[in-house]
Amino acid sequence: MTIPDPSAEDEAIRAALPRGRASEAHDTAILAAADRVGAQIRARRRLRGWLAPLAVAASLVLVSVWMLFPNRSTVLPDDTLRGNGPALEISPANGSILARAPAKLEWSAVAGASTYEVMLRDAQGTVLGTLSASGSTQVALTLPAIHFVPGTYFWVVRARGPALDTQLGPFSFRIDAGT
Amino acid sequence: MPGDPDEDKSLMLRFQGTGDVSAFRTLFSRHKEPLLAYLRRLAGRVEVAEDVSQQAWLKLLEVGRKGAYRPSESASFRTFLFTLARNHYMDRFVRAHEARVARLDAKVEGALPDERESPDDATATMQIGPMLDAALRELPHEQRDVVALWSVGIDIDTISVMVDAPRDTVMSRKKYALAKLRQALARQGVEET
Repeated sequence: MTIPDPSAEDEAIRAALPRGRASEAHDTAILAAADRVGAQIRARRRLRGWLAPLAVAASLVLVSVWMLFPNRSTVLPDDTLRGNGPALEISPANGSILARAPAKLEWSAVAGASTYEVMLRDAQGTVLGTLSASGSTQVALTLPAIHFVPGTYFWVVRARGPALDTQLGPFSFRIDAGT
Repeated sequence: MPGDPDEDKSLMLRFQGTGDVSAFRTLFSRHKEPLLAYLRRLAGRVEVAEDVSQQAWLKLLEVGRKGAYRPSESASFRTFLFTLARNHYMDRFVRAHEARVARLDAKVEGALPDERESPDDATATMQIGPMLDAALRELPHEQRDVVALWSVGIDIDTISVMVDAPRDTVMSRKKYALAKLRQALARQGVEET
């Protein structure tokens, strides 16, 4: 045998290298496994096809039940009030009657808030003061900056953050005797 | 013959997504012979090649069953399949053989069984096949691996990735392997011009 040139020689070597020859058992085993796996995949696909409509149907049933029997309970703990924003705990408690002016106003932290502004009004709606708190959840009410007389007072908290601007309240307290 | 590489990936995805067995059968008929040829040249034994081939195809089916086939931009379906087969061969035979050799070496020097005695039925009818077959078996495993991949049309860059060796190393292994095969042919009276 004569090999004409090096590249053709490489190709001749490539062509002459031994080849495998699959037995019938080799092919049969693989193709039978393919049939089994294909059937499993198709079955799984059919199941998925049923699951989506079933999930939608279940959701519709739940919504219907909720509309027929809505839960109208809105009972809140004494110190937990619903303002314009999320519920929170405050001090003094909303609607509380005090013998003297509170030393400070307190509220629970609001997620996402970095600063708070508190506005205090009297019963006539006159703004008595606007107080700021950065990160803190309380402000002190100092005299004589705010002169309390017996009567009802209202206050709101405006919570602000990078992605937040919400108002909590108004809340009220009443002072029976001037201090 | 190899088909369009993208079509191969699409066929595998179709089988994986819909269970379309005809897609798998197309892949099987397209890559069965090249894979066996590669494994036959790598392993040197028909029965080992067939066993590894079967395991590789079964692993591929398992990949499809799990929905785990993710076609790569840089690697063809054939590369994926051949890598499955090569990894199985390396784990099952090469590393196991190395471990066995190490154990035996510790006990009896030079008493290793010859695992490469089987006659090659596929090359029996070819004039120079048996010579090359014998020469191929004499190659170091790394060279035989490279030349076996090259011989079924895997390009050098892909081989480099598959065998985890630099491109120059792969080129060098192929060069030395082919040189030894040429020498073997020359010894058997095949002349170069």
